[in-house]
Amino acid sequence: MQSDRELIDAINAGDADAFERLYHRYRDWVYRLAWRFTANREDALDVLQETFTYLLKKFPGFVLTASMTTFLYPVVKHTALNLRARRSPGQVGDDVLGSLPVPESSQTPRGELAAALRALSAQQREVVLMRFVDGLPLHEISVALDIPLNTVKSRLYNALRTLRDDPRTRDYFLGE
Amino acid sequence: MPMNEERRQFDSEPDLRVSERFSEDLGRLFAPDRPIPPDIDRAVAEAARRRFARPQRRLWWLRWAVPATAAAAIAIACLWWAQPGAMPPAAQSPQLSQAAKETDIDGNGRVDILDAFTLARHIEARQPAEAMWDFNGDGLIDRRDVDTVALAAVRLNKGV
Repeated sequence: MQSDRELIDAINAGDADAFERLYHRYRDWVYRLAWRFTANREDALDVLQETFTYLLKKFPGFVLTASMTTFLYPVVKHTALNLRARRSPGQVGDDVLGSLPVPESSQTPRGELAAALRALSAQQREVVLMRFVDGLPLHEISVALDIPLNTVKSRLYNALRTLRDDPRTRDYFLGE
Repeated sequence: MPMNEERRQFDSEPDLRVSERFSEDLGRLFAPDRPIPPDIDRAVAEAARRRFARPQRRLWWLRWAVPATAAAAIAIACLWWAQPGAMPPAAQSPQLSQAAKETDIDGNGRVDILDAFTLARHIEARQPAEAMWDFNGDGLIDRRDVDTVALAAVRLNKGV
């Protein structure tokens, strides 16, 4: 299997099939992230297309300096937030991240997890999801969010402590 | 343990390690309810094909068209410049002939921007200047006279 960088080299040389392969490699990851930011299928699909249109315009001449997910995360995030702002002008303010949807609570274990997540700040929740859903290492989260690594660590640490102390999510922790 | 040190090491802290179930449940919680429809895949693939098909042909044209156009323009300009009658003669209009004679500083039979350049170099080098080069009549031979010659050259070239 070709690496991301090999695919990017091929795309820079004008290989449309290589772009399609790159798209299939990351489309589910992008769609899931877009859905998380929009909580709406149609919007998530729009964000998916806009993200890959943006990426397409980077060629030829695109140079990948980090991982693809680190590159894609801010693109998906800003595209989704812009879409939300366009769809609901005036309703989405500066604290747009804070207004991002969290699935509704219910009596199921996952519903309790959702409720516990709502107790976190938007920034803490974002870092938790990047780490445990998107699978990004801490330094990549730092690059993707353009914040210092220690800030990432601090947010994640405080988030995990809050979740560990919450009776609804305590069971997820392995303990001593 | 001080807080900073604790934070730096929290990844390996036993009491903050989470089970695989945590990632799985979070993933399910934020999973889209339906998959990506095939028409989105087709649209992206089509956009990629368009992107890598058309611009390359366009780039091929641009790669040759831009230097070729520039070279042609330079060649035409050189040919035109080299023609003896290319620049309008000073005596085309009786009204302008006197001004043309006065401003033909390098004496090559035509008034052009080179006359302004010659006068500018004269002034800059503080070389002796002819009294007749006081084109604006202010009693001084300076940059304003250069401007006057340049203006005359432009006007004459346009055949005004």
